[in-house]
Amino acid sequence: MKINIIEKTTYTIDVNNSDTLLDIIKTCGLKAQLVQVGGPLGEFVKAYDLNKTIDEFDLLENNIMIINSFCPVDLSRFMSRFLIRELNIINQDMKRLNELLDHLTSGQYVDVDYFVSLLNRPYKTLGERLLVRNIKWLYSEYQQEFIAHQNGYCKASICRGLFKAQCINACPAHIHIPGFIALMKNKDYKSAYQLMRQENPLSSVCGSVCARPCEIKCRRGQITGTVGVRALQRFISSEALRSWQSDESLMDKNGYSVGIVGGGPAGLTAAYYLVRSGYDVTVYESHTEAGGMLASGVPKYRLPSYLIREEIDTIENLGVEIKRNFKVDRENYPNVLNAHDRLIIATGTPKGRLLNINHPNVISGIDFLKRLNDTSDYGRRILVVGGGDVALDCARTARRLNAEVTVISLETFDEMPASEEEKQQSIEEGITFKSGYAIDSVDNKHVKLKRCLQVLDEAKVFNPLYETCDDGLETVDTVIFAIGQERDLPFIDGEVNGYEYDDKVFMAGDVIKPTIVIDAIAQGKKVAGLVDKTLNKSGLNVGEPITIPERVLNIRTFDDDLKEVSTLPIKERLLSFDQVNLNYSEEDAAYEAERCMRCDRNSTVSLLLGR
Amino acid sequence: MSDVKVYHNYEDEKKESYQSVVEKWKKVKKEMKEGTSDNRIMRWSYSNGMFKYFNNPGKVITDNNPYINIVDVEEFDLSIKNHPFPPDPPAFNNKNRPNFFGTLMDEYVDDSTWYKTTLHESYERILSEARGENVPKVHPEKLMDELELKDAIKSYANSLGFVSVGVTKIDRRFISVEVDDEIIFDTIILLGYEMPHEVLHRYPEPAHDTAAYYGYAHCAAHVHEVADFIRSKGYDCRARSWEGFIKYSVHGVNAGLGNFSTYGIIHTPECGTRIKYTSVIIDADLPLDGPVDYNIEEFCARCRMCQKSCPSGAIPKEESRYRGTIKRTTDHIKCFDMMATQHECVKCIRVCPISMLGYENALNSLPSYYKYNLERPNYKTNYKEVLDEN
Repeated sequence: MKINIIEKTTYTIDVNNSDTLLDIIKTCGLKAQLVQVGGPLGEFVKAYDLNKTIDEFDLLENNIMIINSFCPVDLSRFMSRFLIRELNIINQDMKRLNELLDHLTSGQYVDVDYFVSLLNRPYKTLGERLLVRNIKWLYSEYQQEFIAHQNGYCKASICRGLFKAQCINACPAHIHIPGFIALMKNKDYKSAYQLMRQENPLSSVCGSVCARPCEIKCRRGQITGTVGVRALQRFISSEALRSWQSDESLMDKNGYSVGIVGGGPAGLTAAYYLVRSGYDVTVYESHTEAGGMLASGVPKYRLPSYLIREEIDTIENLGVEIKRNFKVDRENYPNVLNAHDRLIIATGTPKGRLLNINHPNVISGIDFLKRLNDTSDYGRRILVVGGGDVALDCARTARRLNAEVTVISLETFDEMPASEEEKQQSIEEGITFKSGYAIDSVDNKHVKLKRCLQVLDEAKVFNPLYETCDDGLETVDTVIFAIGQERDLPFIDGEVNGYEYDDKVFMAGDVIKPTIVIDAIAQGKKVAGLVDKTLNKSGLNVGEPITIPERVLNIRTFDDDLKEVSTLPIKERLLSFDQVNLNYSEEDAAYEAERCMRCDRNSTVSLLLGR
Repeated sequence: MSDVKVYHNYEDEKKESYQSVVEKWKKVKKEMKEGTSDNRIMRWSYSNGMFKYFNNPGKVITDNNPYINIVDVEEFDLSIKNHPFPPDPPAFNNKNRPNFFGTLMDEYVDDSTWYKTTLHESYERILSEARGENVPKVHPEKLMDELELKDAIKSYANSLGFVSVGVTKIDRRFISVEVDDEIIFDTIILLGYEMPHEVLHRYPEPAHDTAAYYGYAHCAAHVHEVADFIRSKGYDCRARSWEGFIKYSVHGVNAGLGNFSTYGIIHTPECGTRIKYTSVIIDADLPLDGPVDYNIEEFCARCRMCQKSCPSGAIPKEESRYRGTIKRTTDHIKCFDMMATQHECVKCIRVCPISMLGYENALNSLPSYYKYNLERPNYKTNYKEVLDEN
């Protein structure tokens, strides 16, 4: 039997009835989150359920659709539109169902009970029954997504009625990316920076270290190549901060006082918005330098200290008091709590996790990065365990200390969670990767390895399987574990669970759940808003609204490829801790800004049904 | 003296009472009604100087087409008034710019004589055939049935370079009153010729061929070949021109050749809006092509590059209600003005990712389920089948 496998390209292959879906998908070299068997109204199969054979399905059409990165609400809407417009099955119930799904994808109120009752009505034709079956299945499997749409958020950035642009939606802080690019085109760097600062007071920092969720969802990137948002952000910030004279408006003092434990991205963000909204803000920072993980956990070749200091100064100059070298512990916690009307805890995850192995020199990744200023000797041969960004930070730092570095991770090289840019630069710098391994045993500095066959099981739960092998590493001087971090809250007894700990204490950032910098910043602003709601209720002051220019776009938008930022030559990199990624020149930045499609100017109105 | 036509015969007029004139008109009207189907259209005929009834079989297709949004059929039917072109903007009537299109061709087209003679000769032939003069003979025998004929026409037209070929019925609400009498058959074969990608890519500096003229001239060069081919198979037909008398976008959507674009014209999966149409009307009931959803609207809603790059601001962001329909009304005055001052603008096509980077590439940027209608669907399952209650 011939079957079409539809993904980016359509494959037509011969299958037997006894073939499983997994076999068929693997022969085409594909991966799938969700598979639809048998045409536009066929049955859905989730990724872990692919062992079903072809003859278990009712093949309405000879199609197998491979669905990756999708939105279940949009998929439901697609099917209902398909039924009405293509199959011409029109009745009041179908129209109402389509209308409800349309409302869900455009941020209008939907009565869920009515929606469910529509799904449970008896329908006459085959098409209607299949549609209702499919939507019911999607609703039960992805109920969280449907609820999120009720609240106006589409995780996959597909339902365009819910956001201004895909990049804005993908950014946890919802920075107006097309807006600052448009302002930048007019060479109005200060307004562009202020527009970013409405959501993110640490834009210059993000310009260097952000994980770039926006660029993954860049609409232009989905068509040809993404816009270099992070590099533009860095360029704008550096231009604006070069001649920064704060004229940011402050609200009148309202007499309330807020304490913030931890001067990291989340804490500083909350401090910035609260001080602008008229609160007295005190930040308790345990280190000599504020900035949290940005100052101590991110190596200098990714984020030089002067960049952090510059922006912290702008926040401090607004009147935030930062108490450095002040560690909040069990003894002084009651005093700190009583000194303020509200307390925000944003201490992050300062404790590195370690595995128990028989080796004299074991250190956690985060401690290794923190203690760089000491003159401790880590030896010539260093083994880093882990596959995330911190692991590669450690490896590249150790490489700059003139060591031979090997990184082992459970995942294969391609599946390692670290960013592609980091991986690429690590290889350039001569770091050895042994991907798909774990430590088996250590005997007198000799590390014996074992192969990792699988990290996650079929239900996506962490469940590694190992196989013994002969591989090993001779004389490892230091083992660095970068396998995750834990929070360190000796002064809190209860469970950490979301933003609100109790009436007086709030949480933000990594301390709730480890996340990326920009998400911590977004949480900082959110919590500042929550604090304001319980005290002054004036709303956060983010400054005057900024008008975004709407000019005619450049006709050559689709011709030009991404201008990658240039990097330091490899030899120079290994000799110092200078920043590896360089800043755009003015022409490069102007060129890159021309590539933005300005999706914020698109329509958000839902499409007409046409009947 | 018998050759002299008498226009006013007073004696006859005295005999013909008012009542008899009414009776006569009612008789003609009845005949016209009987000669047409229920979906007739009544319009003022310039040749007869009276109201005339025409068959309008395309009305059913348009009214049921979900990709043309007619919200009020009665209002739409009443207010339909199709002139070939909207009034010219001032820049077209500039004294310094006589014969705008001819000048344009001389300036920018490499072989402007070929373009001009091809367009001229082909157009003259279309006009004379429409008047009923010099119509080539039809083969006396019907050499194939209608199903075979359709396939034969399609493959022949494709071999001539027409990339987008479809068959539908004419909806007379979408043709200009001027050509009502020239459209003597109800079935229309749409023939789309691609404008060259590499020429458009040189825009906004047109050099050598201008893209639109390339499309027009090749339509002109090949449309009679298709018509002659059909006559040689034993069916009567007439070639039609590439001008705006027949609104090809709407007929194209009816024939499932594409969907409407942001600027209101047809967007085909073959080459986007980078296409010019001509047509042949035929005296045969060819099997019709139905409308298809190519999910182009989905893509356009997430792009709108044409709207944001149009230097004249003629392209609307959203649909608006216009004479009983909800549609995209591009401001022709603004657009033509820009066309005259910037010569051939077509920036809207130049920035379009579907036209310039390809339809597949565009659809791959959407979730994969939007690719279900990539090919003209022929559903195996009868989804309309009514099942038992249980």
